[in-house]
Amino acid sequence: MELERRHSPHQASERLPSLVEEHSDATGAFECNICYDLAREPVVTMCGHLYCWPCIYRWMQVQSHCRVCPLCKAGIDVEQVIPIYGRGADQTDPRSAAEKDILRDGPPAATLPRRPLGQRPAPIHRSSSFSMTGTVQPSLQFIPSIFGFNSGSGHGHAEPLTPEQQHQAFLSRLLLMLGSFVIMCLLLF
Amino acid sequence: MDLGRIQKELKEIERDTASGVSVDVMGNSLQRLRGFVKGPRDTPYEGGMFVIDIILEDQYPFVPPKMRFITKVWHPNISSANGAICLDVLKDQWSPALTLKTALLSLQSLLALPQPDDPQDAVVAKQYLSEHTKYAQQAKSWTENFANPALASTQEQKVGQLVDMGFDEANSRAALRAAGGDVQAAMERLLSE
Ligand SMILES: [Zn+2]
Ligand SMILES: [Zn+2]
Repeated sequence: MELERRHSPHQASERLPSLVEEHSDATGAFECNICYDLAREPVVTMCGHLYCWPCIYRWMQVQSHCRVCPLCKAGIDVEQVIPIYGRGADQTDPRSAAEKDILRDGPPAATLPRRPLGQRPAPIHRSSSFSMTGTVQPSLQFIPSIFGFNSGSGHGHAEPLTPEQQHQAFLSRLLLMLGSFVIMCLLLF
Repeated sequence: MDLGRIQKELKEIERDTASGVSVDVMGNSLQRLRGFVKGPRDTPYEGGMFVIDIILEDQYPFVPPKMRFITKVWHPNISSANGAICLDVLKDQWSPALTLKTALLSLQSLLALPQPDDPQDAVVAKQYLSEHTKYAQQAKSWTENFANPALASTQEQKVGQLVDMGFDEANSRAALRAAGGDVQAAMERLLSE
């Protein structure tokens, strides 16, 4: 959230004139591909196409046999859309949204499920092998992690790691093991 | 019905004059529209203007627009009797990302590229496959006789006049046909019914 604020003022003032001129084009990139309005409760499919959650949900209900993206016919599913949380979103009165035509004809508000929540994958540590320079950890604490036990100190979540992350973790453990072996050798002999 | 989207669609079609398709609103409801498709070049339909009856159901754009040729046309995928169209995007291949404009453009390319393997009019399809020259001649003469651009627009104007007077559209059309295109005579017919 802070990140967005940091680099916005400059660009915004530079781009303002063109933004005003090409207002329709600029907002066009964020229009729902079904109702042609600015996407409400926006979600993006795995194929990258933007819709209102009520619109794409209704389309999924209409399709009887297989559910495909209206634009590119890629497979879509209720569980496989990513919500977009923009700044200033959710400020619209839900009642005004309910008055929209598409909702009125569509599934009644009670049957429209909540928009799926965003997923929170674990942060990926870059050059993770020796990144613990700042914090001096007692050696005893990272020995378990060498052997594949997660000490749990830096991780506040329990999401499963992706294969890539697992691979990286394995490599870093291997390097750590080698490093500590060398240090041990130096100390002992 | 998503009026906002339909209005945006209509505006976009209006802006694009080069595509060879257009849409008119009939009366003050957006439920019933009139589509116009220019016959594609180098085909028996060249020079013709084909009028399409468009009905938008409440579920549009989640269901396809209902389209039918009002202009009589000789084509394997269009009924020569009632103008019914056999086209996948107007049936199971419809998607809400498609529009009235893309649907009309699909009709235009259907005119250019008939699909006799999936026919709507079996007689025309058979002729298309076995006696192609004869098919082309017949299609061309139907275009000249029924798809005259001037005729199409004046015909629609006459129907519009009668509808504005409060007559039912289908009845007006039938009365006009029976009266040989004379609005006054058609009106008298409608009043005497
Ligand atoms: Zn939408
Ligand atoms: Zn897609």
